[in-house]
Amino acid sequence: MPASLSPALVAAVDDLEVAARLIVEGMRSGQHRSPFHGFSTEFSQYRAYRPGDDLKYLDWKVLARTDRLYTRQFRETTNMSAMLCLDSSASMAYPDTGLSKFRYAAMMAAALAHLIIMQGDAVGLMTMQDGRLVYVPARGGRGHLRTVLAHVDRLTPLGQWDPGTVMTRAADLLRRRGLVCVLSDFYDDPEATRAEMRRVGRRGHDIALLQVVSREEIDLPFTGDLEFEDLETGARAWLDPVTARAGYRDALAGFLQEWRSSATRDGFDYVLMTTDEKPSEALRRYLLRRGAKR
Amino acid sequence: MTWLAPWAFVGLVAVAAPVLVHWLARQRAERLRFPTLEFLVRTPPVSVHRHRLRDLPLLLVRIGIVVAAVTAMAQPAWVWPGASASGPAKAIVVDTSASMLRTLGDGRAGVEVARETAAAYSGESGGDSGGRSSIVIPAAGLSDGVGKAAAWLAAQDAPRELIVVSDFQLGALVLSDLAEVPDDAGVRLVPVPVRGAVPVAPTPPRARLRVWVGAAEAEAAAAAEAAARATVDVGNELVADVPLISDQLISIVFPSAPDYAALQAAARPIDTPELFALAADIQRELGHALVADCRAISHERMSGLAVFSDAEPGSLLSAMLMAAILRASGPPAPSAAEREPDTLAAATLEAWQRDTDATQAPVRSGGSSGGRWFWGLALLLFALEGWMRRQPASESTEVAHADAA
Repeated sequence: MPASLSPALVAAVDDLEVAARLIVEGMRSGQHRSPFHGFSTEFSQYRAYRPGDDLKYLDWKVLARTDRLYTRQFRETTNMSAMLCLDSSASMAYPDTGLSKFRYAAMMAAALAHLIIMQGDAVGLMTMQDGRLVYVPARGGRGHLRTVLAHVDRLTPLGQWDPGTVMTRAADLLRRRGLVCVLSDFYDDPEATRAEMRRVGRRGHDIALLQVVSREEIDLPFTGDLEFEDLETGARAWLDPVTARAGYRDALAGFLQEWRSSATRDGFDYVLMTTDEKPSEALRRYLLRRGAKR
Repeated sequence: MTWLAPWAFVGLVAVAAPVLVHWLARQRAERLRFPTLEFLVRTPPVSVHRHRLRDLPLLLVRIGIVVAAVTAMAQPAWVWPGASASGPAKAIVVDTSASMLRTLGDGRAGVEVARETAAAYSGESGGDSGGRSSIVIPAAGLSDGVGKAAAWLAAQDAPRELIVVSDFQLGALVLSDLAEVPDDAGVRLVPVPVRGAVPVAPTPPRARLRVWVGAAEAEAAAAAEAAARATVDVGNELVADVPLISDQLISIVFPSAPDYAALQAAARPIDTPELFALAADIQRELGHALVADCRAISHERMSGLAVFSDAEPGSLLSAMLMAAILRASGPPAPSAAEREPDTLAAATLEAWQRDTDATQAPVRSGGSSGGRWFWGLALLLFALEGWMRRQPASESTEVAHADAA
């Protein structure tokens, strides 16, 4: 089994489909058996326990009540639709060198799409590029996976995006209740975004928030006076990072915590991913969290 | 440590240049494209120091370059431990001859000024600060004084110096006198600008003139004596007033004098050195034209030197004889040289002087070598400065790569 690869190594793979497969394979190559049952797995029935069955599917509550061994069986639902909302705003282009947040998020989106398609579900793409919505409807099949990945590959992080509009349109275009997975740094108007998410959530959609930030954003490791330029607005500020570091870290930590708290409060899946984390492990973390929630 | 060119420290003002550059120069800050400024600009305080000292280590190195260069230009010279840095041993010869009794323009006596000058040089040598010793040698004759000074200097460790304070009357000091001074010793000749004639102490005449003549010729003899005295440029007025050194009496005896024969009989050949000297002087004054008949005499009427003359008392010859006797017996007239003595030319004094040979001194290293060390230090710091200037860029690159990895 292939070992999980480092972010830089995965990012070095130009072919997004290959990168997605590497991530998924890496996720599955962990030492522990994954508790992930897929996006579209639903409880089907009980059956009598047979030696060799995985004990984790043993229903302990039934055992306690009836003193009989039953194994839970799941059935795959093939009609779950997932819409990946990928932030392609300019702020995702950071850092300039190495693995950018956008590339990391694109790889994660590709891996999720690959995973979803491989499980027989439908996946689509919604994003905003230079003020225009980019939409790929949710469908299944390997051919469609390539279509989704090709669209993701063509995206370039620039301008701004409106997460509320993107999510609303994604939810509108999902024909039934599905998964709206947003991969973003969520710097754009957090309050409005959260309000829109809640509206989408009330319509019955599952919402997963994958917040992607870089290690430099968290640590602010720079020294010497720097002229910071906002990637989206172009605003500039002279700053001494050493002096500003403590306050900046507090402010950013508060911002991230606010997203975590609101997601928990609203019943959304939330995972914070840093670009120095192995994509396969980040994906595993998300799926574990999702599985545990179910 | 001493400085051969301390004026170079004026160059330390150049230290202000790098300080101002680091303080005022608006640094071209590296631009960093960042996802959002929201959390940066709301962090108090937003520190934007456009006018502050930047790159303190680099500034210190640059200041070090300036200081090292200035120090090198000041030409430091180190003194070995235990040695004195207060200057050479000095032998100061003060001319106390009569010519130094003359005065300067301000009325002070030359010898007084010479003593003050010597005291000043003696103090400069650092005698009161525990440094090298000095000696002041008063000397009426410069040659003798220089000889003593040379002997004293020979016993001193280098560096050493001879200082002569004098009016440098011509002939008082010759170049050969300085040959005795050790070769490594400096020679400084300090002229005292005295002016005017040399004051001469009054000298009493060696003898008195008495004219023995007959009464009939007395008047003529007196006239001749008066004429003689008028021609002799000696203080004949002082003859009667100043006590005589000796009791010598020179008597000129004419044939008409009373007891001429008895006096002739009493006279005898000169038998004392004093009388012989007087007679010789009289004859020298007379020259070859006349011969004075000088004899010693001891008589109740006279004693001392008797000059027998056959000339007429009022004649020119008698007057010449009397004038010669007066010159010979009177005090010596000052020479023209003593009235306004010539002195050594300034160019000559300059040529005779020589600097103290510091290279012979066991206690002091060459000043230029100290300068070389500081130039070397400046170059080293310059290289360090170049290295430091290149450092920040490569460092930040490494950090970025490390973080990305």
